[in-house]
Amino acid sequence: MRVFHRLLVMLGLFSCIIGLDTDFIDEEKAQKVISESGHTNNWAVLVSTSRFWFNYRHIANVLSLYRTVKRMGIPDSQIILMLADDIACNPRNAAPGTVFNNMNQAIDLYGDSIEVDYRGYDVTVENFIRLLTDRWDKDHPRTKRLLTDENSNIFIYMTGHGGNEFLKFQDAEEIGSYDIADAFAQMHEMKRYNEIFFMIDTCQANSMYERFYSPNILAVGSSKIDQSSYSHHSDLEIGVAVIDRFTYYTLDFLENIEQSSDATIEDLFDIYTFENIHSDPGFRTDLFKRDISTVKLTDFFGNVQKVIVDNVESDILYSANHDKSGNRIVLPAKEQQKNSTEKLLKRANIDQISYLKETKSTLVDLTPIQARLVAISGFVAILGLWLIAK
Amino acid sequence: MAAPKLRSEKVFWIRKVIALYSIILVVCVGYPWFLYTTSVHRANLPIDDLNDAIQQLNNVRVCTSVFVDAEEDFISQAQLVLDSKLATEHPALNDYWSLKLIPLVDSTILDSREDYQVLFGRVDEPVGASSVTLDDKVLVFEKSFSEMDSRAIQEQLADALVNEVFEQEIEHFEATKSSHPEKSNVVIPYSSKYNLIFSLFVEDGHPVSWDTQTIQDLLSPLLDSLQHYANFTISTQVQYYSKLNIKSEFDEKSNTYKVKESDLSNFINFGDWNLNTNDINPSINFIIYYPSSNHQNLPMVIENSETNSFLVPQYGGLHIFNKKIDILTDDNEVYICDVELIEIMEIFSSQLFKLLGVPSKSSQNLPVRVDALTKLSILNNLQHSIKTLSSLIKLTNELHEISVPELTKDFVNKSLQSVRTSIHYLMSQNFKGAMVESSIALKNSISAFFDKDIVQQVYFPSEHKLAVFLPLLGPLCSILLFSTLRLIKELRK
Repeated sequence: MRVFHRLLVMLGLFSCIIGLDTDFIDEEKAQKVISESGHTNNWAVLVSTSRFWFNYRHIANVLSLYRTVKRMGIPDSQIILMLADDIACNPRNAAPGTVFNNMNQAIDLYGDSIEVDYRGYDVTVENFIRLLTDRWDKDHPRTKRLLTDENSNIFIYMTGHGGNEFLKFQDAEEIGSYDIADAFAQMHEMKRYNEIFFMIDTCQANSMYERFYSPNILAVGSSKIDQSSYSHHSDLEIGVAVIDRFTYYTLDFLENIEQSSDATIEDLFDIYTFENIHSDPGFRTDLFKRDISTVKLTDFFGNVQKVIVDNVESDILYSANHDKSGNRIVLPAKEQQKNSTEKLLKRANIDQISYLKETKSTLVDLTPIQARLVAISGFVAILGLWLIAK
Repeated sequence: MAAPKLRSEKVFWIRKVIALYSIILVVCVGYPWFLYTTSVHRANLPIDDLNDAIQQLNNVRVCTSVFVDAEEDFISQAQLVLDSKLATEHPALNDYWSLKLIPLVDSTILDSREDYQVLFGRVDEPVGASSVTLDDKVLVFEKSFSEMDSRAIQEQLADALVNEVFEQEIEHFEATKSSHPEKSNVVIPYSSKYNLIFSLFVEDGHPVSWDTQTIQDLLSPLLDSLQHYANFTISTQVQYYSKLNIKSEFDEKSNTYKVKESDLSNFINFGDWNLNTNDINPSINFIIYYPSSNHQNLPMVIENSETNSFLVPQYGGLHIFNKKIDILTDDNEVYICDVELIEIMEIFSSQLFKLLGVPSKSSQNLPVRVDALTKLSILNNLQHSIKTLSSLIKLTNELHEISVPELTKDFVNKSLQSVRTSIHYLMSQNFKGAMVESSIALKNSISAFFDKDIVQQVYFPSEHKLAVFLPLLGPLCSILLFSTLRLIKELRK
């Protein structure tokens, strides 16, 4: 165990420093990956739904995976991180400002470059569904949206307290398995993904993916119905459990995976044994088109970004800026064109729709007439009662 | 003893009436109100209108007029030659895309950047193929056709139009007609507004300056030519101490620092460089990187790149800028002069065209290429809008709990209206108007699908409804139920 811990530390530190220098996917390889899975970009949605200090391990779970997907090359702009509680700054935290996923306290998961997209009370069922279906106010910032397209592979990881077909958010509400399934259906309808790898670590986790019906979704859960998902170990200094078993062994495996690795999803699934997890992990592969023994882990955890060198045309700007005889087009012509821009913009703006309803925050959406009718009928009812009883 | 009995009888009756009154109230007023206020609003989406629009879009024919400076007989013959050439060489187009030759009557009403024209020169030269030049949208035959066999010149005209002027356009239209249209991974998805962000990243702290007004002046004619396509805003930033993630190797042979091609995907340091813009519209990033090796008078170059630049698909472009003249003192501010900026902007505008998906062929000039882009984008936008609206309708039919707000219906109607207008413009060859309308149609269809009010009720199933209302209605209902039972019992007596 000691040896393993040391290895974890070494790898963690080195991958931060030299990982990005040495690991690259050469073009041939990149082409191969693309041709196999058909994706061109990778996204990750990582959600921890639990509040409170004793749920330390859930935040640690999610931050560990955040660190891993970042190490494997998914940029922060393509990772949506939802943390329901900020345990790093919890007054009970003996080491303020840090989050550890191991009692050896080797890797500070909170580190110095962590970008939380939704935190605290922003982590709600509604926001999660909105994130997946991309239904927001029109002024919602792009950095907080899941801007995926039909070429995106999405890795979704959720952890928290769950039960049969639900996952609790914030002690206040819960998301049902049907809700996630319907959200995925909407994503599929709108071509918002190429493939989804759904991983969930909660009690009775396997019940969460049973209702999925959209294609190209691969799902894995930590425990079957009526089973709990267990924590791996506690840190006596911190005083709480720091990581769940399922996530611990996932990370244990992923820690040895580099950007250029050929390891497959099947290799990952092989480590999910009852001896390791102490519960029965479940997989769902029937919606997924490819054979999992051929699906590379880097299809979901790594990021392929190829660039195109050179291949530049040389005369576009010149031809735009100069007339036939080679003279630079001068300003008056431009002003004239600006006028027509305004005209065009005016034409483009005719679709201004007033968002009057948007600002409303009442529970029951009634128009003023309806509200008046309610009031009058109530008044008449009470009046009738009074007349009879008089 | 009679009086109290009388009173209790009266009370008994009043109680009965009140109970009856309450029951009637609950059943006739309360229950319908409860149903009405807790029901999910589902507006009726105009399915018939959508089907009409789909039908219209399927029947769209793209026809482009070409004004020919010749007599009508010649033109009608040339049209036949052209049509048969198109039919034999590009059977996939099948009337979907065509050219119409029109006699040029008054050349003053035409604009060389707006209308396609064919002019014949007045040069008398020995028999042989006439040389053809394309200037903006004007195709000029150097020789007067009267001196040549008119059949030969008709064929040459058809050839020039199909294989020269409209070659790229035809190719792209054929691709869209094929069963598996190839999707480019480079092109940024269409938006009616883009931010062009020009960033100057300096590796160390040496002051570097540039004239941002020059950038704007250089680009504005180009962007103006695209004004019907989209609205571009330009913003610039300069940032210092932008370290690289990768290491460049010193190459003694050429006396330069070399960046390996395989390292380029990690060249842009997404983590450390401040590249995030919290803007609602998509951004296209153009980065000028100024390496500190310039101060040792050693340039940093990208392996196998003449222009020292590369393109990041769907994101933007990067150019490593090296001062050509030696920097003598470290104290002076380095200024990127206009000549250098022109060179850089030339690279970036080429990258911009690639990112926008402008059909590329260097022999073609700007107005022709923009025109091809416009026509292709109109059809793409219209298809995309229709697809989005169809998905919305399919979804509302599949998910019964989902709410369909009136606003969504408004957006659908507006989108369909724009689709119809755009198709009308397209058929009457008002391509710019069609482009603007198609972009509105797309925007509204996306607003309809992604309306935020649709989500509200999705995760609120009937069990939850019961859980919310039971504490409120439970006690009331139990009182009502038991008093009703008592009432019935008493009435039976």
